[in-house]
Amino acid sequence: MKKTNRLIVGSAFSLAALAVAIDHTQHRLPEPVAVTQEQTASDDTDESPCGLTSESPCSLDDESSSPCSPCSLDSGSDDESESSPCGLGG
Amino acid sequence: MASSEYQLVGAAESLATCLLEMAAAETNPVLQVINPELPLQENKKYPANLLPFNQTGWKAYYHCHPAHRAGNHRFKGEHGHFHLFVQTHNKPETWSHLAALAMDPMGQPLGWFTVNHWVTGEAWEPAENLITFIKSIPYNKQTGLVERWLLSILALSHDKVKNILLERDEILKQQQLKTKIEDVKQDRGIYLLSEISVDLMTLLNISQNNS
Repeated sequence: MKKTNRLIVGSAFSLAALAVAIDHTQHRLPEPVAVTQEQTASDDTDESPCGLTSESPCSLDDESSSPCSPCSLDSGSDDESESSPCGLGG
Repeated sequence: MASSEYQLVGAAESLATCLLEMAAAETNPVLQVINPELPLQENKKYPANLLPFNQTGWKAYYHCHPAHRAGNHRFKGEHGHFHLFVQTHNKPETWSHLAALAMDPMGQPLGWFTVNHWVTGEAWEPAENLITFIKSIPYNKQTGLVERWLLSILALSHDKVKNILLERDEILKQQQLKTKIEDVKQDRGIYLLSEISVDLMTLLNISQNNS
């Protein structure tokens, strides 16, 4: 049996049908834009700077050796101290 | 049937369902978490309040890094990536970065990768500990489409993720011979530690062949 005609086990889906489905999920994503300092400051006003739900201000564009983690769950602070990396506890 | 095989079969069906749902809605996982009406901002987390995974002890978000920054890892052709975190301890609540899934500009997965500790800054867990969390992934306990999609792919590629986690620790172990481990984990010159590509159709084929 051809691979494309085989069913995904436990389902009624053929690989061929899924290949078509995957094709239909292909949509071009918008190009990301750089955020200015002004925008960042504006965005941060409604959020706790170190909360789980807030955005990290620690951009990779920041040329300083910021202790903040750019991909943490929470946001970092603007504290430049090397001893205060951005953890969940802020 | 072994539990790992159950996970593969169930995850394949779950992923198939997600793909059909997204196809019908003419969307993809990234479009689901960003707001297409607003400009997509570099380094901003999407969604802003993170993906909650139905409170099952997982969290994730999508974001994009600037392409031009030296040392800023991107898969070839990467648009952005999902960072996936797992709750490794309850008291106090502790989160650790498991892996990230790179996405292409058409909203399709490119590959998994691990990053150095300074990148995510959460509680560091050895690979062996993190691997225990990918033995029973709660993909079937999710109500959100993107969470189901993400955990289904993780379940289907758990061997790959297990390998890059072990590779991550091995690389750090090698670096440790030269300098202190904490210095290595905070070295801004080291972003990426390990990576592996993924392909949806290959994952679905693997799940079929393993059943």
